[in-house]
Parts: sequence; structure tokens; C-alpha cells
Amino acid sequence: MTALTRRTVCAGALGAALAGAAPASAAPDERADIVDLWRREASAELAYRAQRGVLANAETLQAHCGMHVSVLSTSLGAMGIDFPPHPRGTADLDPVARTLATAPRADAAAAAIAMERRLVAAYHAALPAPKELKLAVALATILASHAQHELTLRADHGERPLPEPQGAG
Amino acid sequence: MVSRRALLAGGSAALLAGCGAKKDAGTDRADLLALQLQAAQVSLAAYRGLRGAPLDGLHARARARTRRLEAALRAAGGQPRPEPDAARSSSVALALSAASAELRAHVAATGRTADRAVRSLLAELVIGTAQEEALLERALGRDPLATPFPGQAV
Repeated sequence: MTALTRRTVCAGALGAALAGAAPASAAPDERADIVDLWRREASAELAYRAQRGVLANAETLQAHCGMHVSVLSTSLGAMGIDFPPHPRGTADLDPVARTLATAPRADAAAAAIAMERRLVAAYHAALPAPKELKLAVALATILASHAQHELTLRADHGERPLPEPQGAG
Repeated sequence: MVSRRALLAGGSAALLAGCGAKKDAGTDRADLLALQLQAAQVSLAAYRGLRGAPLDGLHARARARTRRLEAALRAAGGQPRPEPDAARSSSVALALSAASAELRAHVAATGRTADRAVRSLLAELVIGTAQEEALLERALGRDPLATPFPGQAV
């Protein structure tokens, strides 16, 4: 078992524990948010898989998205929602992930950065909604993960890693 | 001037304050924001003196964060505590310790309030501190993608 695999298994167990108490009484918009995030994560996992051997860290990024899918699946299960169909090919992916999955080597980094930025925005938008407090924590740590993905991709591909602060004095 | 030990103790206090998503549910908004500000102030102190790209902007980012939290705390009826003095000697390792503790505090706080406005603010704080943690990990030659769940309580 590799270090990455051990780490991922441990982190997955902890992540599942974080999301394990999502209630069956979640509001419809809350359920829709989690389904939407699940689709985005599953798409991202497949997109990174398509770029293995091309994009730096694609294997790690794929593994992370897979663990995020596992946590969100636990939440969906606790809400009594069937998992959406898992994407099987690029035609099933959301448009941003499809762009990454089909990008040539020269465009892969830019496509990955764009996808991570969209994921950060999606989790940022979803975080205020959950009534279940453990689910909020799970979304927050996945949000942190995608923020780190974006920074790492930017730094690895010659972009300024951090944006300018707003309102700094 | 505060010592390295005091800074680390402050980080640990922020971490401890951030633990226990469920048992602390319902925490008063001002109390919760005061704890977030305390964690951000520790980062601000630890970042002061860091020099060289790409770390130059970290102090300004932490300053922006503390100002946002001070404003939010005042709006919630609280009174910000004075900032600690800068660390006597800053280091990237000390800054990383502070950033990681702050991230854990912000992540845990999302599980201590259902207030949508506070959650939205926390989301922005999580994004900023997670990026800073990754940047500092890189500066130390460590893997910034070591976990798929950064900020999780340890």
C-alpha cells in the first residue's frame, strides 16, 4: 500500500465520519445542492483521470475528488437520496470538467485551474445552506481542498499563486 | 513582543476552541467571531517579517482578514481584543503552524452556527487560509496536497 493510498483511506474514514449525520429531513434546496456538488466532484474525478500522465499531480487530484465523492455519497445516503448515475465518459461530464477531460497537453493546466475555480465557487455558495452542522464542516473542508488544488495548479504552471488581498491596509 | 511559545500557545488555543462541531452548536455569534479573530490575529503576528516571493503578500492578506473579522464582531455586538505583538523572530514553519490552526478554527466554526451570513464569511476565510497553508507547505518543500480534507480537526 503506498503512502498516498494509506493517507487517502484514513482521510476517507474521517471524512465519512464528518458527513455521517446528515438528516433525512434536509430541505429540498439543500438536497439539490449536495446532488449538484456530487455531480461536479464525480465529473472532476473522471476529468483528472483522463489527464493522468499529462497533468502534474493529476493522480492525486483524482484521488482527492474520489474521496470527496465518497463523503458526499454518505450524505446523500443519509438523506435517503439515491446516488445520481456515475459519469461513464466525457459526454456525461459537466461542461467545465469535459473541457479538462478533452484538453490537449498545452491547455490542460488552464482547464484544470478553471475547473477548480468553479468548484471553489460552488462550495462557497453551498456552505451557508446546510442545517446539519456536521455536513457544513464536511463542505468546508472540501472547499479548503479545492482552494489548495487551485493554488497548487497555479503555482505549478507559472501563475501568481495568490490573488491580491481585498481591503488590505 | 510575544514569544514563539506564546504564538504557538495562541494557535493551540484557537485549535481547541474550534474543535467539537456538535457540542458547541448554538454558540453566541459574537463569541464565535471573537474566536475566529483570535486565530487570525495569531497568523497576522506570525506572518509579520516573512520576506521574499511568494510570501510577501501573506501579511497583507492576514491584515485584511482581521479587519473583516473585527468589523463582523463589532456588528455582532462584540469588542475586538487588541492584536498581539509580532513574533520576536518569524519563520515559515511558525507561520505554517499558525495558518493551519486558523484553518482548523474556521472549518470547525462552520459546524457551530447555522447563521447564513456568518457561514458565508467563514467560507471566504476558509478559502484564504487554505491557500496560505498550501503556499507555506510548498515554501517548506512539503506536499501541499497531502490530505483531501484540509482543516479537519486532528
